[in-house]
Amino acid sequence: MGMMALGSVLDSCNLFSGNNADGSLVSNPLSPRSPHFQGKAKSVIFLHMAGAPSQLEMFDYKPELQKMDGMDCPDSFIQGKKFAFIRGVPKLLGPQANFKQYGQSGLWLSDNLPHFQQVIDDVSILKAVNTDQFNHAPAQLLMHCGTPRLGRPSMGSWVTYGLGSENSNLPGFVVLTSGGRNPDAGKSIWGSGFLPSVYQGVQCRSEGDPVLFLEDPNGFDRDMRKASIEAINNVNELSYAEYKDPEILARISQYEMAFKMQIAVPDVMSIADEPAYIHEMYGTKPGEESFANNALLARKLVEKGVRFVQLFDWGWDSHGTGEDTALDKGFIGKCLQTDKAVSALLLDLKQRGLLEETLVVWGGEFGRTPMQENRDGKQNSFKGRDHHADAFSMWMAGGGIKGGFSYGETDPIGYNAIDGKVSVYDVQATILKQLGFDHEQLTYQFQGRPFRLTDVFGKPIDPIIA
Amino acid sequence: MNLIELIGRFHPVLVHLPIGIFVLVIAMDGLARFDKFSYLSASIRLILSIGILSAIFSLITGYTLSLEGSNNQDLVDNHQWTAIGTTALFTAYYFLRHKLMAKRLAHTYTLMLLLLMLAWTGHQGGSLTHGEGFLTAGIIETQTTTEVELNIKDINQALVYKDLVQYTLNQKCVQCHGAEKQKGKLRLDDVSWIKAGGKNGNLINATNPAEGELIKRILLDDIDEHHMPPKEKTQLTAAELAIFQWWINAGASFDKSVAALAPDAKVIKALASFKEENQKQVKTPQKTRKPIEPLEKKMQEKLEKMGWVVSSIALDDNHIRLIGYNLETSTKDALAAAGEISDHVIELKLSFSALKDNDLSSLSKFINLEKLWLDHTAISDNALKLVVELNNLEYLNIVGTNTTANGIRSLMQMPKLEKIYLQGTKITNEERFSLEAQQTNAKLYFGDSMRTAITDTLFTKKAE
Repeated sequence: MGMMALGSVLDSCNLFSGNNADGSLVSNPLSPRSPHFQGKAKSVIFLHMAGAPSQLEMFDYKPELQKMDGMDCPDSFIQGKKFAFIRGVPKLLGPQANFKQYGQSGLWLSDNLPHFQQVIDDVSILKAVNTDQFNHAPAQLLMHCGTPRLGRPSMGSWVTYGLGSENSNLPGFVVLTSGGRNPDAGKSIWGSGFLPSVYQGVQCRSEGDPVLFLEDPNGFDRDMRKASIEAINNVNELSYAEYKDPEILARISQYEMAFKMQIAVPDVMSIADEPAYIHEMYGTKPGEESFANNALLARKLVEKGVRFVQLFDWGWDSHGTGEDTALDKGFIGKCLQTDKAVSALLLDLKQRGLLEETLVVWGGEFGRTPMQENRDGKQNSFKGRDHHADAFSMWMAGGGIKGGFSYGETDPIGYNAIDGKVSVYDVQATILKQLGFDHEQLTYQFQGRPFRLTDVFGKPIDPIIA
Repeated sequence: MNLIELIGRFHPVLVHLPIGIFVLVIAMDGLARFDKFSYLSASIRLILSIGILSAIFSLITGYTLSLEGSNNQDLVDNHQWTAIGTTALFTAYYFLRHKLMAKRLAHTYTLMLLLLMLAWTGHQGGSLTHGEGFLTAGIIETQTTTEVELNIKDINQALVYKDLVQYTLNQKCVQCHGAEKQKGKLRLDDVSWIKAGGKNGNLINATNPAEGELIKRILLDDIDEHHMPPKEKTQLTAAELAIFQWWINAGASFDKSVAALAPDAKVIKALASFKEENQKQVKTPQKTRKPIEPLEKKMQEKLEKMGWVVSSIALDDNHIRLIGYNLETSTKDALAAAGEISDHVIELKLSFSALKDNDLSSLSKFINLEKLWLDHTAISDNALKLVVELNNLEYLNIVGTNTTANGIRSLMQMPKLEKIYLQGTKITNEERFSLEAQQTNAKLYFGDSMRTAITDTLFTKKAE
C-alpha cells in the first residue's frame, strides 16, 4: 500500500510522463494526447511580422494624433521613459494613412490594408497589448517563449508537447520565414528549450528543397534506407532500455519521421499543383521565397494536420532611417506584400471549413511610438516611429474567437492602454485555452520545479472568446 | 517535494489503519459480551494497543500534512483536535476497560461514544479530501448561490447598492461570506454585516475610500494570496469592478439610485455591459455527452497499426477523434475495424484519403458522430445517402468531392447539422442560388472568391 501511495504521489508530479501505462519502453513522443478540456482549436497559425509593425498605420485609428502632428511630445509621456533610439523631446507624428470603417462590425482599418476588409468580420482585434521589452530579440523571445531570456521552450513546442501530432508523416511544428532574414532572436524562438528536442520547430524553406538533405543520395534506394534506419533504431532502443534518456526517444522518432517525410514533405510543400484561382487569390508565385507562398503553405500544412505553423516575415522595423523603413514608403510596401495573402489565408481557411479548428494569430513583438523617431536627438530623414512597448495591436481569428470584434482601447494619441489592457502572457494563455489547455496546468518538470509557458502570469482574454 | 511533505502525503493512506482497527475493537468488544464470543475478550487489549499506536502515527503524518496549508484551515484545525481527542479517548478506554466491563450500561454508552467520535473524525477527514457536502451531494440539494433575478428596466432608477453591488455580492461572494460560511468572520449578505466588517477590519473606509478592505482586496493583483475572490473562483467582471469602484468612491451609500450618483461615461459603459452580462444568464448549455469508458488499449493499438490516429477528446471525455490521413490498409477495412468502437467516435476525418463511395458501408454504425470530414476524396452523392442517417452530425466537410446539388438536398433535413462545407463540389451557380434560397437548419458554405483591390504601385500616396 505504501508503494502504491508513493507511486501515485510521484505520478501526479507530471501530467504527461513519457512512459506508457502498460510499461512498454518506447512510445512515440508525437502521438496525439488529450488536452485538459475539449478545445475549439486543433491547430495554430501564428503570423509574426518581425520588426514590429506600426499599429497607428494599420488598426489603431487616432484622429487626435493627426491634429497634434508636429507638436512636441508632452513631458508626461516621456519623463523617466527609456526608448531604443528617441532622445530628448521628440515630435508627435500623425497617422500616415487614411482610415475607414469596414464590415458589419464597422471596425477601423487603414487603406494600407485594402484586402483585409473582406475578412474583418472574422477577426478579433486586440488594441491594447502590452509588453515589457523594447528591443527586438528579447521582445520576440517573450512573445514566443514567455521570457525575454534564452532557454525556454517556444509556444509551438509547448503545444506539440501537449497535444502531439495528428499526422505521423509530417512534423508537428513547422516554421517558415520570409523577408530575406530570420527574426532577430534567431532560431531560439522556435526552439524546444528543456522539452525533448522532438518538439522543436522544423524550419522549412519555401524555395528549393523544403528541407535540406532529405533526399537519398544516388544509388541508395528506399528499402536500403528503411533497413538502415531500422538498424539504427534497434540500437537506440537498446540504449534507451539501459539509460532511459528521453532524448534517445526523440532521436528514434526523428529518424522515423525523416524517413516518412521524404515522401510526404515534398508533396505538401509544393504549391505548384494548386489551381490558378488559388495563386490569384494569395498572390503566390511558385518557386520564390515570399510571405504569400508561406501563407499558402500554412494552409496546406494545417489541412494535413500539422499542429503549429509559425510564419515570420522580416522587414517591419519602420524607424524612418531610410526609404525602406519609411512609414509612407517601405512600410506601405510591406503592408501590401502581406495584406492580400493574409486575407486570402483567412478566406481560404474559412471556405474549406478549416477556420473553426484553426486559430490564426497576427502581430509583432511590440508596437511603435506615436512620436516620430529622432535618432540621437536629430529628426530622421524619413517618417518613422521608434519601438513602443506600452500598447500595440494584434489580432486573432478562428478557433473559437469572436469575429468582427475589437477589444481594448488606447488613449487619444495611442500611447497607453486605457481599457482592456492585455499582456503577452494573456495572449499566450488565450491561445492555450482555445486549444483546450489550462495554461497553469500545462507544465514540465525541470531543474526541480514545474515550468510553464506563461511563467507565473497570464489570464485568458475571455471577452474575445465566442 | 521534500521528505517532510512526502511523510505528510501518507496520511490519507495510513489513517484507514486505526479506523479499521478501532471499528474492529468496538465490534469485538460488543460481541464478547455474549458467551458464544467470550473468547474474543482475550485479544482486545492487544488489538487496541496496535490501533492506538497506528493512530499516533496517523496523528504525526496528519500534522505534517497540515503544515502544507489548506484553503479550509478551520476544518483542518477542527479535524486535528477531534482526531487527538479520539485517540486520547481510545487510550483512556485501554486503561479503564476492565473497570467499565462491570457496568454493562456504562460500557455500552462508552462504545457508542467511541464509535461516534471515530465517525465524526473520519467524516471531517473525508470532507477535507473530497470537499464538504460530498457525502450527501446526491441526496441533499444545497443551494449554493442566492439566485435573484436581475430585474432592472431602467438602469438609472436602479439602486446602486441593492440592485448592483449586493446583486454581485450574492453571485460571487456570499458562498463563502454568508449565512452558511463566514470565512474571515465576514458576512456579505446584508447591509448590517457589511457595515460590521470582518476579522481584518472595516470593509468601507469613509475617510479614505481606497483603503477600505472590500475594494482593496478586489483590486489586488490576482496572484496575490489576499486577492478576492480567490483565484480559482469566478472573478468580478471588468464592468462589476468599475461599478464597485464608482460606488465606493462616491461614498458607498446604501440607498442612492444610479442617477443620484451621477455616473460618468466610463461607468455608463460599465452599467450597460453589467446589464447585458446579467441578462444573458441563460447561456447556451455546455454540450454534455453521455460518459463513456476509456478505449481499450488493445483496440487503440490495433487501430493505430492500421494507420489511424486515435486521440480522446479531453482528459475528462473519453470520446474519440479518429483521423485517417495515412491509412495503411484499404479505407474499407480500416473503417470496418473502426466500426468496432463506433460508440466512441465523435469526430472522423478521412480528408485526402483514397476513399470511394462503397468504402463507407459501415458509416451508419457511427451514430454518435458529430463531425465528419470526407473532403478531397472521390466520393459522390451515393456516399451522402449514408451520411443522412447520422442523426447527431453537426459538421460535414465535403470540399473538393464529386457530390452534386441533388446529394446536398438530401442532407437538408438532418436534425442537428449546422454547417456543410461545399467549396469545390459539382454544384452549378444556378443550383447554388436555389439551395441558398431554401430554408435549412444547416449553413451552407459554398466558398467565396476574393475581390482583388486596386493598388497601383507598391509605394502609394501618403495620407492627405
